[in-house]
This record gives sequence, C-alpha cells and structure tokens, in this order.
Amino acid sequence: MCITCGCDEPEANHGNPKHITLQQLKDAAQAAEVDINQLKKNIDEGLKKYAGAQ
Amino acid sequence: MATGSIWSQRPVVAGRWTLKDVVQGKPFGHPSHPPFVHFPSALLPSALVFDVVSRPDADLTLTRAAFYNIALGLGIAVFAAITGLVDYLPMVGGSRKKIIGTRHLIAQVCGLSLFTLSLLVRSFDFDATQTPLTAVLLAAAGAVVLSVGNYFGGTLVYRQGMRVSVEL
Repeated sequence: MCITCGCDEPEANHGNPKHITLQQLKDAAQAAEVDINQLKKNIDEGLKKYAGAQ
Repeated sequence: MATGSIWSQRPVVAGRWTLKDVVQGKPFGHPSHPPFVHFPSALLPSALVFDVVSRPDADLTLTRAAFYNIALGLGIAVFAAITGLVDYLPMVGGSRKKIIGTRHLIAQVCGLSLFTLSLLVRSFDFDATQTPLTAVLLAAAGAVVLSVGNYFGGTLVYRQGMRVSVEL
C-alpha cells in the first residue's frame, strides 16, 4: 500500500518513493533474515521506542 | 506503461484474480474507474448547456439532446459507481484517502441524484421544446455538486496518487 497510506494497494508507490510498498518490506525482511511476522514486531517495537507510537 | 507492469505483478489470491481484482481492472493492467467517469462528467453538464440554450431558443432537438445526455450519463455512472465503490470500500478507515474518498462519494451521489430528479421532471413533458425551469435548476445544481465531487476525485488521483504506481 503502499503499505502505509490505507489505499489497499500493497504494491502501489503512488509515484513517490517515500511510500513504502509491501515488496520493500519483504525485501527488508529478507535482508534482515527474519520472516514477515518478526519484521512486523521489530517495526512495531521500533516505532514505540523511537517515534512515540502506542 | 509502467503502471500496468507493476499491477500485473500484484499478489493474487490462490494464484488467480479475484472478482474484486477483475472489477478494479487489475488483469487488464489499468484501473477500471477512470474510463467510466469521463462519460457522466461530460454528458451531464452538456445537458445543462442544451437546457439553457433551449430556454430562449425553443427547439425539440435541444430538449431531446439534453434528455438523452442525462439518461446516458446516468446509465454509465452506474459502472463508474460500481468500480469506484470497489476501490473505495477496502480503504483503511481514518486514512486520508478514505476521508477524501468519502467526500467524493457523497458529492457524486448527491450530484447524480439531482440529475435523476431533473430527468424525472422533464420526462413528464417529453415533447417540450423548452426544458422546464425546475429541471434546468436541478441540472445546474447537479452540475455544481458533480464538479465538487470531481475535484475530490481529482485530489485522490493527482495529489494522493490513488491507483498510481510507476517504476521509481
């Protein structure tokens, strides 16, 4: 969905590289050698710790 | 076109396109909503032009042209509505896209309703050489509201990039 904007289009970048697509997350998971569930957990923890997310 | 190539790589359920994917135009590599929206956007305001001209220059051709423009515009709007709803409904609630999409939806429904009422009013006197004033006013209001709705639709595409994807 861009996995971030709520558009329900996981591979659409909306013409702007700042949007994060599902493929980018899969690539990031592969680079980090974690599965997608662990990736989600890591991002969640990171956002809570460094960006004030609840 | 790059848009198509990215769309064709999109994940599909169980290795095949879902009905939602097909209605959205994904197997064709192009969003399905845009090809439909141009017809009501052009036909309905054009009817208003014929209506206005028919007031000082009474002519059955003008009133008939306006009638058929509205009828055809509303007919094609059904397809625009279906393809638009299939794009709209899965959006995540509270997202900016859904908020703008809701405004677009409300305005289009109101605008199309006004044109439907206008069509109904003029259908009572199908052989009139001048469009009834009530029908003209309803069409004028409908054209204004549709324009507002089109503005929100344009914001979704040109600002928010809805259904836009390119190789970066």
